[in-house]
Amino acid sequence: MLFNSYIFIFLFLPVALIGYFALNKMEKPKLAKAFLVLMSLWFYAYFKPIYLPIIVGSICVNFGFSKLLRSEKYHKKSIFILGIVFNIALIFVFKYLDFTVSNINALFKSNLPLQHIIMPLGISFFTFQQIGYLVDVWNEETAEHDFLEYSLFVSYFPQLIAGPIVSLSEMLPQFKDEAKRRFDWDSFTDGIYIFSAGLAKKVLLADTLGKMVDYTYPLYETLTGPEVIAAGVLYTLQLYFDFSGYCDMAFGLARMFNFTLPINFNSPLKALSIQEYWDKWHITLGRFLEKYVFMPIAFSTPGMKLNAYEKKKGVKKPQTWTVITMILTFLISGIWHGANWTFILWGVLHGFVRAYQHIVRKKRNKLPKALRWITNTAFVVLAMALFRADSLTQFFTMLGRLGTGWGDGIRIGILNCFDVMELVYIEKHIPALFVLSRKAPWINMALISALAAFIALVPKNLHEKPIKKNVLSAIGIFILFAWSLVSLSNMATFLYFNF
Amino acid sequence: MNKTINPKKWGISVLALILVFVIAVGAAVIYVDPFWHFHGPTAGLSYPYLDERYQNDGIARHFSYDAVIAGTSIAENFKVSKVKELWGYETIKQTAASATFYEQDGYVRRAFSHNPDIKLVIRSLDATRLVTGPEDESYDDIPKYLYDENIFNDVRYLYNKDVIQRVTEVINYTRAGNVTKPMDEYGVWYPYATYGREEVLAGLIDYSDFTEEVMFDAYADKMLAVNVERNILKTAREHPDTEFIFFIPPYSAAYWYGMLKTKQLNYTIEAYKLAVSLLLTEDNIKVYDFSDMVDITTNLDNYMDTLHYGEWINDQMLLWMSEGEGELTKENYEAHLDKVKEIYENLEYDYE
Repeated sequence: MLFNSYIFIFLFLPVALIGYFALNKMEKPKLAKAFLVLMSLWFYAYFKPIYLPIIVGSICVNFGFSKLLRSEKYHKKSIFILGIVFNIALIFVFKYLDFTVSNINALFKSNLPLQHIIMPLGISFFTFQQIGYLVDVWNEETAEHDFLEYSLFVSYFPQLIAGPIVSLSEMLPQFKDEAKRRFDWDSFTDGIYIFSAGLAKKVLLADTLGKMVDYTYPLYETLTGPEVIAAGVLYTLQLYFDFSGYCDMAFGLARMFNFTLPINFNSPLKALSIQEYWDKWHITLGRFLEKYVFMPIAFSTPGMKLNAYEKKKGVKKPQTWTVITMILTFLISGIWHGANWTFILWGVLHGFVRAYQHIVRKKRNKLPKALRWITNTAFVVLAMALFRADSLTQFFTMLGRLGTGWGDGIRIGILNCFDVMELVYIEKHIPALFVLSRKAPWINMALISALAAFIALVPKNLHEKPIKKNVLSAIGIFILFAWSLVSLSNMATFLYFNF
Repeated sequence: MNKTINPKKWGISVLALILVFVIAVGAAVIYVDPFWHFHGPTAGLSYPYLDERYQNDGIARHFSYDAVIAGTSIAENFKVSKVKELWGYETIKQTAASATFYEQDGYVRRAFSHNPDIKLVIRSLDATRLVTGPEDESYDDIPKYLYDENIFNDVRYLYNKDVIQRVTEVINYTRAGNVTKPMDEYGVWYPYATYGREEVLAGLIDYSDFTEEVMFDAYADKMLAVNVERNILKTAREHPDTEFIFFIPPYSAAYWYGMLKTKQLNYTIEAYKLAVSLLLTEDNIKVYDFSDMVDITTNLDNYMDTLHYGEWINDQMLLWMSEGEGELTKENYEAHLDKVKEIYENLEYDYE
């Protein structure tokens, strides 16, 4: 089930809220948690019921490992390694098996059969979350918790399929807090506010930009330079509004239940460096990778030995291992994002640029902010264009098209993707605007792109400022919600006339 | 406006506004019902014809009829008044531009589900739709939520900004003094068409790359047979008392020229032969072919492009079909289609 769906808004959410708070009101906190777990499993199984045994199995096995880790005295390390291997194997089978097999086939000219396994939604998220959990148990950083609390921690629907990636220590105190079991208008209305803003980001902005991107990418062999740039820039904005909108919805939903999820986005497109970008984009993935990947590699024995060797050679501040670690971490991030060479190259590129900016940081920090922003954003957009590509061939073909067609501009088919009903309606009823839209068919694209860029770059992040509850914000949130609601479904245009 | 209000009051106000909005929009869509999903045309309102894929099911649901015309753009210009005149049946159109056989059959089946007493079905046999998958559709986002009895998915119709816009269109259309047009004008494109040789020849392409004969192989044979079985014969068999009329349209000679140049003439004729042979296995199916009407097909003033003829040709076809002119039988269909092939192989084209 998606947050931006009728069934979620009209049925699932009201039932979940009423059921959860009613059971708590009846002094049945355990039942309330169990209810939320069951609702979350319904939420998950709604995509495909076959996914259900996978997540339930994963929860049970991981909790079993954690029980063993906490009780066993002599084989802790083996159990811990087995637990990590189990999770990696699970994600490998569902996400990377076919990719690996097809690469082996390509490399060795073999003909191993592909399994065509359908990847369960959110497997990357709930697997990473549980790997982090096992590490925390291993490090004895987790408080006492039972199976129900653990199940809720993994399956809690607002963060289940697209994050944020939370740790048990963030959620457990909230699950145990009796005060949080009572319905709270302040928290609930914060939730409505943030959910509606997130819904609008996703439905009104990301989906509109997505239409253009989906239309443009398959034309990669014939794109002009301006079209390639527009596709890269607008995909960057699409993904930002899509994912940050989703995370806002998740955050808002959790607030409705009186819980607080970590903030996952903080205006990342304002970043001046890749380090700052990753401090602001998908923050919980960044901190996961830092804690569970970067740090263990950075402080591993080979790293320490290399640092010691460099120091012995007279290097005051050894950098080699740090650079290797950065690239490795981003490589893992790339692999995590998807089973395709595009993601791997995307990760490696981010790693190299991150490392490069780290090495030259003193010189770079002296450059004007505008220059740092432009160079950093240009790289982010370039990497995003790669992230969206179906294959490396598509990406490099698009790059090759950059120098072409500068006199031709952007074709009408792409511009038409921005003829959203609202703008067309306004233009139809205001003659001057109608004339303008005919004379300058790019006007709708320019308006929507400018609005998206403005929202991404200028105002403060939603989470940075206090939520004002006044008449104006009530009307504003109502309009955003209602507008998004009626935009969940639209009519297709069946233009094809022949045959 | 900027004065802070307490969260409870704020929350109740927002929820109340949402509730009022949901009720008001839902009520407006149900009352006007621009696609006649819940009921027929509301008394006092006039409806513009909008999009066939959205309105077909509503028409099949709420209109009274004895006959159905289904098909693609080559059937859209048929006039139901002509069917009434020639056969005596009240008729609805269930056409949709570019519809596959699967879609066309879907409309016919939906019509039967609403009205089991249909006496006559007229459908087009488009050359380009013969060899397709049995469940192929022309578009990904066909509004299936309108084509079923599931009330829960109607939410996609009720809370849909495009539908809301259609509601306003109905109201504006009514206010402007318009009336709902007769079914003759449903789905038609002829008012916007420009006909003539120049228009038609503009659609011809450079054929120099087409050097290899396209074979009607076993794969195409199987695809076509499955397509015809599932999307024509099955429905015809389930409704033995209904007469099904299929027609091969009189595509322009420029179309056949294209087939010849792209080495697909033989393929098309073989495909038609197989389709017709299968159709004629059912007693309640009749097939007509007007491809050999060279007076029509070589006069490009009858066409807006290589495929699409003017509405006067649709009128003429109905007349011929009602009179049995151009009917294919088990005995004559092969010779007839061979003749069509021969005609267009030997025609002296001046399209270069």
